Amino acid sequence: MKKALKYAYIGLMLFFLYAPIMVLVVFSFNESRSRVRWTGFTFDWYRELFNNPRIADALTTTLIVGILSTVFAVIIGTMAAIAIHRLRSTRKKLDTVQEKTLLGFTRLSMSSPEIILGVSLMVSFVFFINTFRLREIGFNMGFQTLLLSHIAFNVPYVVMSVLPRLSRIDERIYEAAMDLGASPFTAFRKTMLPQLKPGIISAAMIAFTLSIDDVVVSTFTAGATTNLSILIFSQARRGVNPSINALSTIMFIVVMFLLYVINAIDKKTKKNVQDDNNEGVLEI
Amino acid sequence: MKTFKKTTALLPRNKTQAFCYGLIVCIMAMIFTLIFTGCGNSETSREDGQTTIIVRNWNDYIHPDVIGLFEAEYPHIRVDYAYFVDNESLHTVLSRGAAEFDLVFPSDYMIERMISEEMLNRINWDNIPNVSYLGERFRGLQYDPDDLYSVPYMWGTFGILYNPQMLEDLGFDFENETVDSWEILWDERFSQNIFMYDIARESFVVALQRLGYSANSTDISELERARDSLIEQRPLVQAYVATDGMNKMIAEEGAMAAIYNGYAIWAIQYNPDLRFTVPKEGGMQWYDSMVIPNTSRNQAETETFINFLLRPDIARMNAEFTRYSVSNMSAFELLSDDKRNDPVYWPSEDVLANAETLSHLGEFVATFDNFWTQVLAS
Amino acid sequence: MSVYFPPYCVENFLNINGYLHKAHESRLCLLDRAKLPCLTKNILENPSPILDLTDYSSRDNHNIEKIIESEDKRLPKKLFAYPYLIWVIAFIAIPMFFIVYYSLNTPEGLGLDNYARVFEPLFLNVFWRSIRLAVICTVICLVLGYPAGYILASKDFEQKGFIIFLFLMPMWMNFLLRTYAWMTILENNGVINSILERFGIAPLAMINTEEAVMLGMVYNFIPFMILPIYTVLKNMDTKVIEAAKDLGANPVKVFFRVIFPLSLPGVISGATMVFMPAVSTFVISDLLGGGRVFLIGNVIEREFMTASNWEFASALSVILMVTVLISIGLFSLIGRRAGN
Repeated sequence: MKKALKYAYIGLMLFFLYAPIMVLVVFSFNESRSRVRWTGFTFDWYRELFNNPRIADALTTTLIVGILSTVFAVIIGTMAAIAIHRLRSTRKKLDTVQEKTLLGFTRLSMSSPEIILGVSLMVSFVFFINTFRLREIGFNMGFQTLLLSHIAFNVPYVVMSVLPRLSRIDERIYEAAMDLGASPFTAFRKTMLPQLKPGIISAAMIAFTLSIDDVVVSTFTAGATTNLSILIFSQARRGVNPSINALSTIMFIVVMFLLYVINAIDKKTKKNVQDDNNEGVLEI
Repeated sequence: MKTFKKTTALLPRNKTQAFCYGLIVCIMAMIFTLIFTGCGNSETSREDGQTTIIVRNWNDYIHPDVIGLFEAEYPHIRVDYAYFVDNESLHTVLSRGAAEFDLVFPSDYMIERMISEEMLNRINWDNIPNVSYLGERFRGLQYDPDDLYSVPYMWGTFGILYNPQMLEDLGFDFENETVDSWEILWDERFSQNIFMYDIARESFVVALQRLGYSANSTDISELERARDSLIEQRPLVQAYVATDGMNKMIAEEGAMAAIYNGYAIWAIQYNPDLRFTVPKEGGMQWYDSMVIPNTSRNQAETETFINFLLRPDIARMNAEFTRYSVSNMSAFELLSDDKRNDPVYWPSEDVLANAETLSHLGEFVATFDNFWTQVLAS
Repeated sequence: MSVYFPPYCVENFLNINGYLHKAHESRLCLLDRAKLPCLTKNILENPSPILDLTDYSSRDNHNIEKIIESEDKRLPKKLFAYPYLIWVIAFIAIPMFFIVYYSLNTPEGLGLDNYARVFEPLFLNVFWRSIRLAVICTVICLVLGYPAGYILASKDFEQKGFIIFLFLMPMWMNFLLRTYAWMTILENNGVINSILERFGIAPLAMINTEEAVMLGMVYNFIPFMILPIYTVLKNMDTKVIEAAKDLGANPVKVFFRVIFPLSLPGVISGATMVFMPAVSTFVISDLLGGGRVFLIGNVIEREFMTASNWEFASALSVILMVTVLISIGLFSLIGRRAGN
């Protein structure tokens, strides 16, 4: 009985979470543009989706920015986590101050509302572009500022994901490896990186999700570029093109498929799944 | 000496540290290369003889095929086409230098403002021979009397779109009353069935005209009274919407909306029960024109595009798609009869004589914004 | 943390007066004697710089530290710290600085005029509305999300790890579209009302109200509440719970006295991750509020983009930032207090 209740509650929750998505999917096949009245079944919107260069452009931008910002954020964030971790391990005043500053700013960025991140970056970009006439070198409010902003808000999440991991692994293996003649980089790569990998992977997933889903920071910093969220937001007040519904249906199917694949892989290494879930919590 | 010693401590002292430094430098270099060579696709650049012009327009304001047709005819010009949401945010973005555009389509009062703030380039009419297709009455419009900066694109009116059936159900007596005044938007019988426009100037047009003032009033006491009447109206308003009002009226979410005639036509097409009228207080007539901001670096190509849009067949495509009235008279000729005779689409002279065009408020813009924020926040 | 010393130095090292104390402070610890032999072999074969401390007395403690550090083979720290410092300054500190700078910018130079305007009743009202809605949203998310996290962490779901993914997956769908879809569901002629109509029930006016915005917030943020709670509960030491049960406490008491307090870190983490975006959102109130629910995020967005009043908008942003930081501080304070 208790078990049934539990299943029912979770089931209800999942229904609540997926109801709007189902609505989107259903109405992507709707014949009319109306998002309320069902008039007939059609694949027209899917056809239009593939013929619409604006949507394709926006989608490409979103994906490229997502992937690039994730990669850069992971690299910068891991380095930063290593730095902070090392600074923690000494008692020198300067190091502690440095560590507290770096960590403090990282936490500040993570606890800032997106709108503040967005406007602060926009304001500073605009200032620098105008004061130093960066436009002439080719640095503009556009793709570059969009990418930099996404990296900027992703890095703290990577840092906070990798840092707890670092404090849990045993550094002596690294030192032993170096003693055995390995260069620091190889030693790091072979001893510490594998242990950090789950943390880095979960950080990368978080970063990617944040980047492709981002609306607020993008609207302020994208300048002349359009990404998917900006496109939808500019249409949201004016009646969303049902091709966007079609796009979200496709995205949903892709993500479901990925989920299935991940689950299949995880079944082989079951412990990792639970490990991941444990490490997925961010330190705030 | 001490600080010098400390800085030298930063220098790499063995191969491994040098490697790490190298790694960091590489990454930083990658980021900077990304920044300064701009691998984005929306840069105005001259690569391989191809120029890209950045065009920003209202949503659904151009026939979807037009861009493709243009690029086919002029293969050396690529059009980066996207949307802007309203006049004010366009102005913010341009004036603050937050983006660079080649061609934008603002409305009358915003053009007036941009001209006064010297944000626009003069049009070189030699590049736009199709200007001959423009109707006479679209030359020398009040915001650009010498036709130096703008090329008229679309125009129309702003009035009330209503659903007679729903009004009747709510108690409206068509025998004794007519829908001909902004007053109906304050009528308590229709509480929660009213849609107002979510942009400051449009809503204030409604409020000011209802009180008998000019939509361009700069009298503080008049503006205050208008603001207060809007605050009064708030409990009756279901939502402040823009184009979504069209969708909502089609879906019969409400009984009336203050809205543009183009959207009204679209709505009527999908829901033939609806009606549109320009109220007796005057309503508004508006013009959207094409202007070239002074950030543009490809004026000649932009003017080619403007010229293309003025071609009668293209203008007609746009007109039929957007349901807005064209300023291009040859295109007008090509339109179907019922469209030309539709008073909603092409209002009569008397209606137009009464309707006001918005003008720039000058220093009152800040006060105006303030009042609107007060309305929204109340 | 360890530093290598050649074995013949160890005794001398330990004998240096006062240095043991220093060693404790700087968290240097000596290697296990047992490990020394194999390391000795490596060190002899691989003559990297070795410390010979025989000549140093306790007065040279400071120098010893420096020398030890320079031979330190641990991960390079200065290497990564300074670049990251530059990054942090460029992309976090400087933008924040600009916001503060703009907020202090008045026509007469630097001043607090913009802040004075923030504290007008009109805007204080908007602040209060945003905070009120965010608090209610956090509470609802907690009430609904805690059971979900609890159930997911319980034994019945141990094999079903992918259900967690199912909870997180909606976040991969575009946030705007999911919110927009709620408009379809809640509208006067939307899905819910159509169903009600079929049963002859009068339609509900749901869209464009505070309740709709609240629903949108809960919908978007509840996964952020469920995940930390689930994680904490999953890692909880079941022995403590079993002990409590063994001591005769009934399930309710076990929950409130043992489980809930132990799960507080997750609760606090979740509450923070819900409250912060809830108080600053403008997209949700835009789409589901129809201009009738005006929150502080909307004000800031409008002032930046439409009114082009960057100075005032920056002041609003600073106050919002301060509010968020205070609330985060409060949350962790509550967490610590209640934990005791």
